[in-house]
Amino acid sequence: MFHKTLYRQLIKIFGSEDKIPKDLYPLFQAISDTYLHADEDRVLTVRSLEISSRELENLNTQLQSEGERIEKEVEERTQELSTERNKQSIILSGIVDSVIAVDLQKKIILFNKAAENLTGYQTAQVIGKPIDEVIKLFDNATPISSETFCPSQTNSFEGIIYNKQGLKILGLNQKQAYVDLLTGQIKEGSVSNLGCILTLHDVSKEMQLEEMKLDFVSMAAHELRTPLTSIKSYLYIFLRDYAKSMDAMQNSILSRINIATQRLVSLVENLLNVSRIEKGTLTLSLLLFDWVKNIDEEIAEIIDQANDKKITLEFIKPQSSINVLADKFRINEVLSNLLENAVAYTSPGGKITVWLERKGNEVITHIQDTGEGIPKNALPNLFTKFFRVSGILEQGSKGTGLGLYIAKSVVQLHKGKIWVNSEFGKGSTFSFSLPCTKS
Amino acid sequence: MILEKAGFEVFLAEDGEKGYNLAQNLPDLILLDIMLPKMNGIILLKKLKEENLTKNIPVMVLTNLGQEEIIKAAFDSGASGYFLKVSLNPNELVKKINLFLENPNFKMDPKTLVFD
Repeated sequence: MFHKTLYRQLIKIFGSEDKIPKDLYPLFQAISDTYLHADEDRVLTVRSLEISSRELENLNTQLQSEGERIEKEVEERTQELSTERNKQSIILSGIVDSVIAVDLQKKIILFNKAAENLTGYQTAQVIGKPIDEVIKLFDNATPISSETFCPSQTNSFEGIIYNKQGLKILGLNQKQAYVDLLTGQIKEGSVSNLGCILTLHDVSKEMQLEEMKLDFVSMAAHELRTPLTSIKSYLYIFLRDYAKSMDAMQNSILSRINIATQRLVSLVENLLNVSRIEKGTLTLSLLLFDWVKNIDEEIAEIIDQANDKKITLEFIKPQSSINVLADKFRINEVLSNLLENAVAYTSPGGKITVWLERKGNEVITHIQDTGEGIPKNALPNLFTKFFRVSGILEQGSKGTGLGLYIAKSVVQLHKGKIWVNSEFGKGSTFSFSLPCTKS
Repeated sequence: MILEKAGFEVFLAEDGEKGYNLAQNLPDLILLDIMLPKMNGIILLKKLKEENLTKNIPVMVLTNLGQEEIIKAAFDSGASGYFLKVSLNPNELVKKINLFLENPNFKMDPKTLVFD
């Protein structure tokens, strides 16, 4: 009937159930209802507390395992990052190009080994320093501000922000080099305090080659050789492929062009040699070789010319070899020059004799001809530049007048001597000495 | 022209950049001039010798520049040979080419060169 708690209280008050006033029953019923509700609430509360507590326990367990999982992941990630960082470090120190990274205040935060070599600074010296204080960049002579080559981060820009080649860079104590510069930015830069990443490619050697003021004479030689190469080559091909289909006159014409071209080529080389001699920059590449064998080879080159002109060419060959230390190329230029002169100035039916003489630690080469000979008054000037026996204004002089001048210079560079004995109308003997090894 | 007649398959580049691109096709031999537009022959040579793909292709420098510094730069950069165009007739050129093709590892001794 009534809630048990209320019933107990009513029995306490009235003594027994039948003594409870019946007109108060509605009131007591209402009170009993509220007790019932309170009971229900209490049960619910307890129940929900029980449920919550169970849920909390589950949650806790979940959180714990989640926590452990996250911890493990973080550990792995940290390890990965560490490995990555180490890898990057090794890569950066190994790459040939210089890499410099700066933060948003343009202070250096990364400076690899190559950058050390390029600038002369040690990494430890420059970390944290403003880049302006460490390197200076110039485009030709114009300084470039750090705002230009390493601009401030602008609104998540990502990519190459500056790219210029052939810049001059000054490092520690004005250490100079030339570089191609590439500056990049990443869009996370503004949140990760990364301003720019500069990659500098050292082009100093290439720039030196560009800057090298090729001297006038060398350039002139190059300019002359270029068209000469074309003329020579095409003429060669033409003669090789079409000589048979041309008549004698045509062949003759082309032949003369060929000879003239050869002369031009020799002239260019001679002029170059003279220029080097004058500047004192003619250098020798010395080789030890058998002089006797060498003369044999040079004579073989010219024997056809001599035969064509019906001149006898003889080499009185010694029994043993003679070794000389000389610049083979240049000394053979001398030898062939003298031999060609002998052929040129000797009439058909004449004779050219080559013989050698040993004197101490020198070998003297004599080239004797039965040609025109040289007038006495010409002798003192014979080995000078552009000297021609027949006089500068007279036609018909063979050669450029440079051959003997060059021959003298080359022989003297070898610490030898060159001279001539001649009688006008009878012939000449040109002689030059070269140091040789004891046999 | 001459080379094709001699039986070689020839690819021609008019400037250094085109030369670099052609080299990626891995020819058996490269004839390299020095005075080239866009990229000079020495820089191109250095580039080719730095890259794994092209570093083993023999390079014959063919030029009319004869300065010692340039010859040295060419050999330092990895040239196998150096020839003055004006001194070689077409026949000799073909002979030299065959020499390098038959001996890809052959290198001329720079000391035997005497130019300017």
